[in-house]
Amino acid sequence: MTSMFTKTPPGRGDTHEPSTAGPQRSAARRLFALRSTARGRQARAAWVLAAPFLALFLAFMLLPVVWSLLMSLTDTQSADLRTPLNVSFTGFDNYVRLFQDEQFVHALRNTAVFVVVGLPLTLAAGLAAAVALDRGIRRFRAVFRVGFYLPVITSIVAIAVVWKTLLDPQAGLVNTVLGWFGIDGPAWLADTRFALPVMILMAVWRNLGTVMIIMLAGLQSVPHSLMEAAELDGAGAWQRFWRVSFPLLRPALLLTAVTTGIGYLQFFDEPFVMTQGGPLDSTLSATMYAYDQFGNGNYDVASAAGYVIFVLIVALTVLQFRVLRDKD
Amino acid sequence: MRTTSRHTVRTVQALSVTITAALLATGCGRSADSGPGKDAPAKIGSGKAKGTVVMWSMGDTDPALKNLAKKFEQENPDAHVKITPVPWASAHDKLTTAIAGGNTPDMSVIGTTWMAEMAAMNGFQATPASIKSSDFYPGQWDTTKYKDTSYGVPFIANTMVVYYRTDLTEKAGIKGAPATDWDGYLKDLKAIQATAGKQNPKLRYSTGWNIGFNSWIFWLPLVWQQGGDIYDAKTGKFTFDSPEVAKALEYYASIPQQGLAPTDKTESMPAFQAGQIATYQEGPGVGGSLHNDTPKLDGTWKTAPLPYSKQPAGFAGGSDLAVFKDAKNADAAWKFAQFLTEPANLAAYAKATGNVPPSPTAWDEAKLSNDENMKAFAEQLKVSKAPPAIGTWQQIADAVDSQLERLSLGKATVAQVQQALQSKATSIGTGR
Repeated sequence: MTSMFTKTPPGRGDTHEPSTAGPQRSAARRLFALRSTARGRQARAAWVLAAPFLALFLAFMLLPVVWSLLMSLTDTQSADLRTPLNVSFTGFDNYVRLFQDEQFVHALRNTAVFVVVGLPLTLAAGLAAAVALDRGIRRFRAVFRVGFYLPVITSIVAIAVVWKTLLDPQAGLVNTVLGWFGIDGPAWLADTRFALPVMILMAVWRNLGTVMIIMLAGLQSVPHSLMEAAELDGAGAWQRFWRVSFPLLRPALLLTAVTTGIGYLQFFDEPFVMTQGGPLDSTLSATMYAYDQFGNGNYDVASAAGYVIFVLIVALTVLQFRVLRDKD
Repeated sequence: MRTTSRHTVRTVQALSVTITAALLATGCGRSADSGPGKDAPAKIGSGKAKGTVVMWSMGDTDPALKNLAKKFEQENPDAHVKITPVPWASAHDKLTTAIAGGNTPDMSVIGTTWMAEMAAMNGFQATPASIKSSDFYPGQWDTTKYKDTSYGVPFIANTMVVYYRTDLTEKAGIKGAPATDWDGYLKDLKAIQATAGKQNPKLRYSTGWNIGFNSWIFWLPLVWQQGGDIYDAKTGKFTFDSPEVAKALEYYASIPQQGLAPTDKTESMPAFQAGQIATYQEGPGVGGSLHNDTPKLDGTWKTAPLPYSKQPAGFAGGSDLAVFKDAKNADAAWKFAQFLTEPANLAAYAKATGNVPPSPTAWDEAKLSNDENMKAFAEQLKVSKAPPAIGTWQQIADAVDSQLERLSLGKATVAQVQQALQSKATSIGTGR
C-alpha cells in the first residue's frame, strides 16, 4: 500500500548483484589508460579534487580503525608504545577477558537497559509531541517547537551539570519541593535504584526534540487530499492517524530509531559528567568502560571493547532495518 | 567475490608490514641497561642554561610560576622559558599521548600519582645526582620513584588534614581540636552528631566522608597507620589480605555505617560552609577558598593532623617536575627544575599560590608555621607516604574505590572486600 506514495528504488532487494570488478579498480584503469580522452581528464580532476579528503580519511579514519582492530588482538599497553617490540599477538584473549570481567558484563547490561527502555520511550514521546504540535496546540506551536528542541542543541555537559544540581540530595530543587509535601526524597544519582532511570529520563527529555522535528516534518507532508478522502470515507481521528499518517511516517521512524539507537549504545556523557559510572557501577556504560581502559593504558582491552560495541551497533541497526523498513 | 576477499587479505598484509616497519623504526635504540627503572641519572652541565625550555603546567598558569621563569631568564640571559598551560582534566591523556608519540615538551608538572605510570612508559629522564633527596620530605621524594630510581623533583606537596568548625565542635563539649587517636576521634564524632538539631540546627552529619571517586586517598593512610601496607615491593605481591588492611577497612566503614557521615556523595566543602557537616579532610588549598568564599567563617574553622591508630601517617600527593626522555633541551630543563626547587623559590611559589612546599627548608624559609592553620600540614607532611610506585597503580586505586563503596553501602563484608581486592589487584598486576 505504501508503494503508492514512495517509490522503491530500482535494483533494491536480494536480487541486487554486487559488481565483482570493484569500483576502485575500474576507476584506476580509467585514470591511467584513458588519460588523454576528455572523460579521462574529467576523472583525473575528480580524483585530484577528492585526494585531500581521501588522504585525510585514510590517515585519520581508516588507519586508526584497522590499527585498533589489530591492537585488540595483541597485548598492547601504554608502556609498549615506545617499546613496541614487546607487543605480542594474543588472538582473541582480550575478548575472552572482556566477557570474564564482571564489570564489563555489568556495563553491557546497563547499556542494554538504556537502549531497550530509553529508545522506545524517546520515539513514543517524540511522536506524541509531533502529533500534539501538528493537531492540537496550534496557537503556541512555535513556542513549543523551540521548547522541545532547545535541549537538543544545548551542550550535554551543561544539561548534565544542571540536572546534577537539581537532583542534589541535600540542596537540590527536586528534593526541596518533595520536602514541602513531607516526602523525604532519595539521593537520586547516588542511589543504585534511581541513578540509571534518572539518566534514561534525562536522555528521553533531551532527545525527543530531534524525533519530534523529523516526525513533524513527516506529518506535515501528508497530502491534504488523502486526509480528506479518509475523512469522507468515515475514518475517525484515530483511524486517520494509524491508517494514513503512521504508515507514511515509517521512513522518518526508521531514521530516528537508527540514529537515536546508535547514540544510546554509545551512552557516555551523562554518566561521565554526573556519576563517573557509580554508584556501584550502576550507571557504567560500555563506552565508559572502554574509555576507562584507555585511560589506564590498557589499549588492547579498550580496543576490544570498542569492537564489541561496534558489533552491537551493527546488530541493532540491521534489526531496525528489518523491522521498520517499508515492505511492499 | 573471491577477488574482493583476496584483495582484503592483501590490504591487511600490506598494512601489517607498514605498521611493523613503523614500530621497528620507533623501537630501535633500546638497550638492555637502560629503560624504565634502570636509567642512569641525567647529567647537568656546568655553566648557564641556554636555549628555549618548553614546559607544560596544569591548570591556569599562575603568575608565580611566570615570575620565577623571569627570574631564571635574568640569571641565564641566553635561556628562554615557555610555559604552556594544560587543563588538569585532559593532562593525563595529553601527557601519555605525547610520551607515546615521542612528541613531548622539555619538561612538565606531573601529578604524583602519574609518575610511576609515565616512568614505566619510558617517558622521563632519571633525576640528576646533584638534586638531593635529603632536601625533601621523604614521602614527597618517594612519589618521584619508579623501581628505586627517581624520575623527577617534588614541586608542590599536598596532604590532607582535618578541617573542623570550632563553633560546631564546642557545642559538643570538645575543647580545642578533636582527639588525634582514632577511638577518641570516633567518640568526638558521636558527640558532635548528638548535637544535630537542637544545639546545631543545620548540622546533618558530624563529618564529611569520601565514598566513591578517589576515596582510596582517605583510606590508604589508615592501613599505614596500622603499620601495614597493600603492596610489598620486595616480593612484588599485594597484601590486601593482611590483618592491617582488615582493620583499616573496618575503621573506614565504621563512620558512614554509624550514621556519622553522608553516603550520598554530598559535596563536603559547601556542606562545611553551610554548617551541615562539622569536620572533613582536605588539602592545603582549601583554606584560601574558605577565606575567599565565606570570609565571615574566618576564625571559626581550624585544622588538625589526621587521627591515627598505631602510628601517624598521611597521604603524600601534589605534583613533581619531570624532564622528558625526548626533551630537546634537557640540560636547560634540568637547570630550570633545579632552580624552581631551590628552597627560596619553592617558598616563594608556595606562598604565592597557597600550596605547601615539599621541602622542610623551604617551609621554614616561607615562615609558613606562622600561620596557625598551616601547622597541621607541617606535622602531616613529616609522616606522609607515597602510594606504591607501580605503573598500574591507578587501576588498583579504581578497584579500591569501588570496593570501598560496596563496603560503605553495606553490599559487602570486610572479608569479601579483602578477597575481591586481592584477586583483582593480582590479576591487574604491576605492569611489564
